[in-house]
Amino acid sequence: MLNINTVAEIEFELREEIGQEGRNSQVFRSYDQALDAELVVKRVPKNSVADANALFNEARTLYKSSHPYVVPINYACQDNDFIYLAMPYFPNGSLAQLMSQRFLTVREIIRFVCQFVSGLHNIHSKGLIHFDIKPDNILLSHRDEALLSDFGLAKHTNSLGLARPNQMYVKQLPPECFAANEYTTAFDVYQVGLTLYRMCVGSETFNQQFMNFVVAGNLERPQFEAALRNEVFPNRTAYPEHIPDKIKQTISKCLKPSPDDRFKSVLEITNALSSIDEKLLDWQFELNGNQKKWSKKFDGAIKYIAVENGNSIAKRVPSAGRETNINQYCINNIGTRDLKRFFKI
Amino acid sequence: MRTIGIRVSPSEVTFSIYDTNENAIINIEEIAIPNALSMPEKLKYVRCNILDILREYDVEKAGVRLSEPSARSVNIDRVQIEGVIQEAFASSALNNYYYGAISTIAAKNNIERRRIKPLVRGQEDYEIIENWHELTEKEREAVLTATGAMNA
Repeated sequence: MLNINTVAEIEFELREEIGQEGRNSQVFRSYDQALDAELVVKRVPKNSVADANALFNEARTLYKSSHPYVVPINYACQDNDFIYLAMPYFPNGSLAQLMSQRFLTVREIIRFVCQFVSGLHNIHSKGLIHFDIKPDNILLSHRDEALLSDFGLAKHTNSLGLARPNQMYVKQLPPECFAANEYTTAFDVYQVGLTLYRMCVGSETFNQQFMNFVVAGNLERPQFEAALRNEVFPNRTAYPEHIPDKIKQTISKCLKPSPDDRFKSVLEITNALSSIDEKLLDWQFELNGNQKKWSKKFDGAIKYIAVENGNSIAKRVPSAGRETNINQYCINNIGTRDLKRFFKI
Repeated sequence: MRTIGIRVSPSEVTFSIYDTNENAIINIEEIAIPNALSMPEKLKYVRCNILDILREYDVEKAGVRLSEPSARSVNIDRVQIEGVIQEAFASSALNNYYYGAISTIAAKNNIERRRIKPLVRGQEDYEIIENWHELTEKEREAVLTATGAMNA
């Protein structure tokens, strides 16, 4: 057939590979000469699917979802063998990378959730379901804002508000996946809850819980399914002590086994997180072997409490001068209630 | 046509969606403003969400109820949030919008100024919505702002 479109050339230099997204695509840093810009290019081989045109779906979804909290797309193009999606380069990396370095404070958790959930609200209002919300798919802007990314599984809903992803990753499965094959936006609500959970307990704890269901490299599917249905996985009692009850309750509601029992809209999630006790927002949690430690800056000083084998040491460390014990909180067999009182000093 | 009316407070933004064809309020909701965000980020958060809501409901006309210019104590945070909402209107695909205090809202609704207070307090019924007396004052102001937007 005669092609009446104008076909033009785009020229970019593929630099180092910075990650592999899924089995079929590679991600490179690249330099676009016409724009004089450093970009990230995702490259997908055309032979990976029957209809190469469908590979542009992710680009189309991203273009349609233009929003301050959704990763923008600069352009999409193709050559004989590949299609390419060009996006801005985010040197601060992903939320997953940040979470692998340290625990997040409650303030960071709420701020990140409010940001990427705003982006998600936008895509839901355009009749799309994301289907793959997890810390790896949330990128951090140069202002450290959480941007929703990777729309490779996103799908348009039908007139009943249902859609079905082409594939799913078992670690993020909501319980309804074992009973139905079409899903509503409640699927994303579940995954927001799971992401929020991972931000609270850390990826390592979450992954350990998941690995309990993997025996000799295989998922124990019946046990895993039962654990999801019975609200046993993820473990709702594994939170560090500084996580406020409001966040735990919000997560539990997102993770309800029945989609009807979850928040009806993602905006309700951020509404539920909108007023948290200011005193709990800035504790930095650390886990060093058996020792749990929480620290926070107060005018010109740091206060911390460290708990090991049930015994606690609490100190005030001024920026200059001697550190002092906070005797009231140097306790043998310290309880959760004492810790919660300490977080409110 | 759908319109929106918005009433701001420092901790939440209440909005109401009015359908002129059905002469009915189809939604009253709020955007709670997270206290974990800094003020500039709160403003950005409100702005993004308002723009999404305008699109989500296909809103054509809008109004925002502003603080009374004669109020004895003005809440700075509230005024700033009212400011970004006006900016969001100006950046949106709306056909028209208005902004003003109670007297402007009364005029847009063709209601006498003196009737507005009893309406907001729920002492008088507003025929457009059944459970008028069950709403909060902020919700009633948002509804009146939305119905007034029809004449924006």
